[in-house]
Formats: sequence, structure tokens, C-alpha cells
Amino acid sequence: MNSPAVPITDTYSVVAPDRRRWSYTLVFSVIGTAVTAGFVVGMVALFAWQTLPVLSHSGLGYVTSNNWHYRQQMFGALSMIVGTLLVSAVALCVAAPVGIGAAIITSEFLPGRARLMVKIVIELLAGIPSVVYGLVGILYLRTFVYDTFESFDLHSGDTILTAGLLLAVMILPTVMTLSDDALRAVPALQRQAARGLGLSRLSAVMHVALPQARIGVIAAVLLALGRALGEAIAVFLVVGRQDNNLPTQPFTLRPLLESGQTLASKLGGAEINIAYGDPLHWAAVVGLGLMLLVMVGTVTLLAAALTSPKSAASPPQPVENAPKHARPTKTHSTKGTSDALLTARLAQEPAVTRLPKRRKWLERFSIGSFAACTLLATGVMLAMILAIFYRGSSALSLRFFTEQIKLVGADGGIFFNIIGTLLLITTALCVCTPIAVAVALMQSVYLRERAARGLGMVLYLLNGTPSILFGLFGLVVFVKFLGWGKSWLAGGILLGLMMIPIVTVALVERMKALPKKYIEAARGLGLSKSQTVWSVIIPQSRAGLVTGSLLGLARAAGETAPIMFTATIFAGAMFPRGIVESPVLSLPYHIFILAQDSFDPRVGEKLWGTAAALLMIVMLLSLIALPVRLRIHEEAVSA
Amino acid sequence: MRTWMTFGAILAIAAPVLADILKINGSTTVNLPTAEAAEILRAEKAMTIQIDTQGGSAGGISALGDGQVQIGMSSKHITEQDKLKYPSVDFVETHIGEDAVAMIVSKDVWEAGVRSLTREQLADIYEGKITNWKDVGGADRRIAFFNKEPGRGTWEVFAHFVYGNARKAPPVSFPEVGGNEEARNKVAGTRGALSQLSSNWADGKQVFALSIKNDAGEEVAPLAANIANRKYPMSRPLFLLTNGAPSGDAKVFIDFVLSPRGQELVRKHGYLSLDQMVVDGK
Repeated sequence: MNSPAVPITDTYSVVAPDRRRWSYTLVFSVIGTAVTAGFVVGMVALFAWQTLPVLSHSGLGYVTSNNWHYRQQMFGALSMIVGTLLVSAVALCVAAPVGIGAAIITSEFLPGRARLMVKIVIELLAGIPSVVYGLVGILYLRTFVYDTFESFDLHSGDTILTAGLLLAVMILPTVMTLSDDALRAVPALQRQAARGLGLSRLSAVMHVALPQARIGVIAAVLLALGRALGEAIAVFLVVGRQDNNLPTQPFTLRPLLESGQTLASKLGGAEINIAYGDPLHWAAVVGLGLMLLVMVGTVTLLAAALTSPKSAASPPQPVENAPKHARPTKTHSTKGTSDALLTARLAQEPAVTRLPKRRKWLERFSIGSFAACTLLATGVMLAMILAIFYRGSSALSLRFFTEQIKLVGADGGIFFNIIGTLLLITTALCVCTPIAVAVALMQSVYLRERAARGLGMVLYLLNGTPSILFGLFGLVVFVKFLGWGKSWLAGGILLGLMMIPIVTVALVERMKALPKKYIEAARGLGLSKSQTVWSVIIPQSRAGLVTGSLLGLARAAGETAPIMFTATIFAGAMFPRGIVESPVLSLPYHIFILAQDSFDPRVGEKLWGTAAALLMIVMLLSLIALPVRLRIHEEAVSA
Repeated sequence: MRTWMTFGAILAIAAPVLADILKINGSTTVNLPTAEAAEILRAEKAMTIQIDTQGGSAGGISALGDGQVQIGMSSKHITEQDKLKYPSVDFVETHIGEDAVAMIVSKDVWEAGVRSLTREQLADIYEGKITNWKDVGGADRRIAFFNKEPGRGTWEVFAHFVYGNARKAPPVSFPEVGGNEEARNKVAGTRGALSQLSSNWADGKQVFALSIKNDAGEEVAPLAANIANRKYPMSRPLFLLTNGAPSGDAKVFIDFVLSPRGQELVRKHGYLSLDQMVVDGK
């Protein structure tokens, strides 16, 4: 009736206005959104507040001086800031060209099915937990870097370069899938027009498609950068953790071949436990988290700002794992038929262009190197998986899955680690689902365009927040302030909060794709807005809920950083009997600890076996999501 | 909506119930015999025991100080600072065995003939005055020193030996290693490597334990006899810490570790048991 009271987006402008100004659905939606936004704001505020003591102690020197010696109460974090930037720069220099090159091949040269297969493989691999990357880094990459650069007289194989290369592999899927999406979003007609003007296929891509997709590609690289900046666990294991090692020969390879420390790797280390209880030291440590948050936040919001000016109801693909169907759907559905005809006609014609010989070779060389990028990307990933299963296979037996740890990890199995991980992700799902549904409703049903964009930014920010900061937040709030000690519930809540953006985005995408006539029909039947939500919108978008949840769970299952201080211990926990002081065992933490501490040589095999088991769980979750995702892709293509 | 209610129900059922759980945290060195003792007690006495090794000895001390655990594992003495930090806690050390910290080197260093270092040489290496093995009788190769990370008992023993007091150790920044396996793994895989490590982890195949050359010019190896008679300077006691005298489950646990079977576990993991210390007299 009084429509101004009920803000509506154009998507659901046909939803009937309610008879009253509020409904339980609205309240539910507001609460969920408030929890999400409150968490983001609360975390920033908490970190800022707890950092104050070190700022009054060290002043600006906290970020500009290079002397971190906590025993002497000296806290100058410059080398960690530089280390973070260097490691990320190495990662980007490798991952950006390879990822974009591979994306050019998948989006422009591979036929639909093959492209889909490559994308699916890459997205499955994107779910490999960072602790597994770390393990591979310790055993293969360290040695590789150490031997390759022997002539430089390295201190050891733990270098900025090692960490950067490891991160490059980790962020490659992000660069690749998001660049591919951006390229696919350029209407096919543009390329055909370019071809019609006599440009070669490659030139059409390089001079027409790529420039048009540049914003999307830049955003892809920025999001990948955000992940690189914040990675704690994998970097911790291979960066050498040397404080105050500021580069002295800036324009050589030397700084990359030294050990170093990043903000995130410091936060993953032993100082966290030592610092708590000493307000100054603790402030210095939390300050590192705050700096990290500011750095990652800036990069993430920049990416968001670049890509979001037009789209209102949803943040544009903040997650590497989120379904990527929306934009292709839009572009292909508008002029689908005429495009298809044109493509068909063009395909029948002989090569439009006659290139000079040199151009032709250049052309072949470029396409060849892009193809090499694709092979490299998929090859490295597959080799990793094979290596893990190969080395872990001897440990995998029924006993391994049904017994508990014995002899400090050297004997027995990982039964309670599996139980713990399952408990954590189940809790995460229970925490995340209602909140994500509430936020998605707020995004697509209740909020106006600008407010929805603001909420999208919050989701973007949450998605970009490094997982180690969830751990730090949980340590302060759950472990210490609420006095829970280590508790499965704290871990579950933190992982649940982490999953919110993934699930919400998947839901919103689905809601956006909902045919308008469904809502019109609901209105015709006289349903109220709340009734429309629960009887039409939610049931029709459940595919998004399912895929989003599965992908979120796959990520949650492999995370170490959020739970290492808050929820999980190495040995002795079984089924929790309460909340306070009720930790669980978990798979990722088991790997993280055994990778650093294992006395018995038999631990090695168990370690790889655990990694293989964790991979199986993660991949299984992603695989279950696959059919739904495939169907969405099919719909997008056939639309 | 329904999910919310389910969640609420879970919360209600899982209301804080403090069960009889014995929680232990601390040193990875002490963890080896302790964890095995816990496995035996879990099986034989159906005790619920949780063990973690976060933050090494310092982690054990602060976890006990914060009341998060009943037993802290530590490979160093409680200091005045610890007592100041936790004034309400009455730290009680129960000595369960003895361990030596060795300076371990990679194979190439050992094969180049480096067998021992003096206290002065260690100080010079630690302060960056000596950076090449040729200055201490080895081949011409840069010394790749891995420092044990802060809070580790191993580091405290080293610093205590070299500087008399861990607090007098100058601030330095080397690549750091945490757990024992990490230290061993990195030393084994790096040419010219040197680090501090619990002596029983030196396998004599990939990593080798150096002797310490004393003022009399005598090379003392970290062997049981030398540790027991305190001739080897870098040894350390292994403690189980409690708040006040051990009681309840903590007492059952500590009594077991002190029993002949428990002491056998201490020896099994390469440390000296208490009777070995006493027999050789100190």
C-alpha cells in the first residue's frame, strides 16, 4: 500500500507490497545483515582499539622503522610490510601473465565443452587447502629454489622467492577463472566485427576483446593480490621467518633470495601465544593484523569499485569459487540468435586475413605461449594432486580412517581428526546458512540499488579478509574475552562467518536469474512479500544455496588459520562434551603440526596420508556441487 | 527459520559442561614421552587427556598461567618474569628427566672436519662476527644459522650457556625454526647449516651433533654420561608444571611419568631418566 516504506529493486518491483510495514522475514533479514556488517565493522574496530598501546609506545616508528625485537620491547614492522609486498609482487609477476594467457586460450580458442572442462578442473584445484600447498612447498619447492639458485650462495631454500612462487600457484586459479569470465563477457559480436575488418583471430582478441575486458582482468589480478597478501600458513612454512631482513641491494635478485617475514607469517607464528598477557607486545601483534586488513581491504575494495558501477544487486563475482554464469548469460542471451548465425557464417569462410610471414610466426608464437600457460597451469595443479596421492597412498587403509592417533602421529589413524573437521564444518554450515539467506534477501528483495551496492562491498570485504585474521579475532573474542578456551563452537562460528560471502553471492546470482513471471504469478495469487519470499524466491534459488554451501564448506574444511588458535589441538580430543574448553582435532592442523614436528620417520607417510584424506573431503564437496554448476553453465550457454 | 531453531537447540544442549578432562600444553620436547604416557593412561585408566604443543615451553607456561591447562610442559625453569606475569599462580616444577641441547650441523660441515665449537665461537656466530665455516676450522662456506624461535626451551638453554642469562642475549634476526622436525629438516637440506636442537634428534646420518670445546680445550660431546655429570654444558631439565602441588588427574598423570614405566618412556625418546642422573651423581 504505502510503497515508499518498502524499498524494492527493479528485479522484484512486481513483488506485492506488504499490508504492514514490517514482517518477520524483514526482521530476519535485517538481523542477518546486521550480524554480517557488525562482524566486519567490529573486527576493524577491535583491531584498531587493541593496537593503540603500541602506537603510543613506538609512534610512527611502528611502521617506518626496521627493528622488531620483542624482548627489548622494540616494535618496528617495516621489514614485514616490505616482505609482504615483495612476496605478493613475485606471486603476481608469475601468476598474472600465466593466468591471463591461459584465460585467453580457454575463453577465445577452446570450444565450449573443453573450456568448461578446463575451468572445472581449475576451480576444483582452487580448493586445495593452503596447508597442503605449504607441505608441497617444504618438500619440493624449497629444494628446487635452493638448487636452482645455488650460484647465489643462498642461506637456505626458504626465501621470499620460494614463498612468492608458492603463492603464484595458489592464486593462479583466481586470476585464470576471473579473467576468463571477463573475456567471455565481451560480446561475441565485437570480435566478429573485428574479424570482418580483416583482423586475425589473435589480433581480434588482443586489440578488441582484451582491452574491453581490461577492467575485469585488472579486478581479477587485484583479488588474487588480496589473497596473496593475506596468506599465512603456506608462507609461514617456506619464507624462512627472518625478522628485520630489509633488502640492501634493491635492484638485484638478491632481496628475493633472502629469507624474510610477512605480516601474515608473523601472525601464524609462536609470538601470538607469547604476546598475549603483555599489552604492549599484544598491541604490536594485533597491529600487524590491522595493517594487513588495511592493505587487503584497499586492494579488495579497489577491485570492487572497478567492477561494480553498474551491477546493483550483487557484488560482481568476488569469489573464485562462486558460480560464473551470470555475465555470460546476460551477454549471450541478448542477441544470442543473430550472433550464432553470424558465427556460423564466419566459421564457414576461409581465413579472412593474409598475413606477412613474420606476423604469422609471431601470431603462432603468441598462441603457442598462451597454450603453454594453460598447460603449465593445469599441469602444475594435476602434478601436485598426483604427488600427494602417490606419497599418501601407502598410509591409506581402513585402519587409518577408523583409529585414533598413536605415538605422536607415527601410528594409528586420523579418525578423530576427521570427526573434528566434520563437526567444525557442520557447525559452520548451521551458522552460515541462515545468515547468508538473510543477507541475500536483503540484497535482492529489500534494498535499493545504492544500499545493495554498499552491502555488496561489505561482502566483498569479508570475502577478502585473510583467514588468519578470523583466527586472531576469534582468539580475542571467544578464547579470551568469552573465556571459552579452545572450543569447537568458536571454530565453527569463525568458519561460518568466512563462508557467508560465498554462499550469499551464489544465492543472489540465482535470485537474479529467477524469471520475473514467477513473481508476477505469485502476486497474481495475492501472496504477500514474505510469502513470495518463502514460497517462490527461496525454493527457486535453492540450487544457489546448495552450490554456494558446498563450495564454502570445501574452503572451510581446509582452513588452518582460523581454527589453530581457537578450536583445535594436536592430540587427545574426542567428541566434545560442552562448549567451554572443548577443542576438537582436525585434519588441517594435524598436517600443519606434523609438517614441523615429527620425530618418527613413519610420521612422513601418515602426514601425506592425512593430506590425501583432506584433499578427498575437499574435492568431494566440490564434486557434489558440480552437476548443479554444470546445469547452470548449460543454461547459460543455451539461453 | 528452522535452521535458526536447530542452531538454538544445539546451543542449548551443548551448554557448558565441564567434564573431567586433563589438559596439557607446552614444549614439543617434553611432549614425546608425555604424549605416549597419555596414550597408555587413556587405554588403561580411561582418562580423558588432551595434549597440544602450541608455543613451546612458553606456550605451556602461559596456558597454565591462564588456567587453560592443568599441566604445562616445559624444558626450562620458571623465571621471575613468569611469576610476575601470573602473580596468582603457584608454579610447581616436577622434574621428569633431562635433555641436552646440541649444536647440530649438516653433513657437509661434519665431513669438512668441524667437530666442535667453543662458547666464544658460538657467541661470534650468533652476533654475526663469524659468518664462514673456514673461520672455525671448516670449509669455505657461509654459515647458514637457523635460530630457534622465541619461547622455545632449546633457545633458552643455548642463550643461557652462551650469555650466562637468556636476557643478556643480544637482539639478532636469523631465519627462525619452530618445531624439532622443522629444524632437523632444514639443517639436513641446507649446506653449511647450523642450529640448536635437542641432541637426541641428531641422527648421525643427516644431521650431526657438535661437541662443545671447554676452556681446558677438551671436546665434550652431548652423550648421556657427559649430560649426567653436567660436563656437557647445554643440558636442560624437563618439567611438568602444575599450579600448586599436583592433585587429582594431574597427580595420577605425573605419578605415572615418574614411575618406572613412565621413566622408561623418557629414556625411549632419547632423554635421560631421573635415575640415570642420580646414579652418575651430580
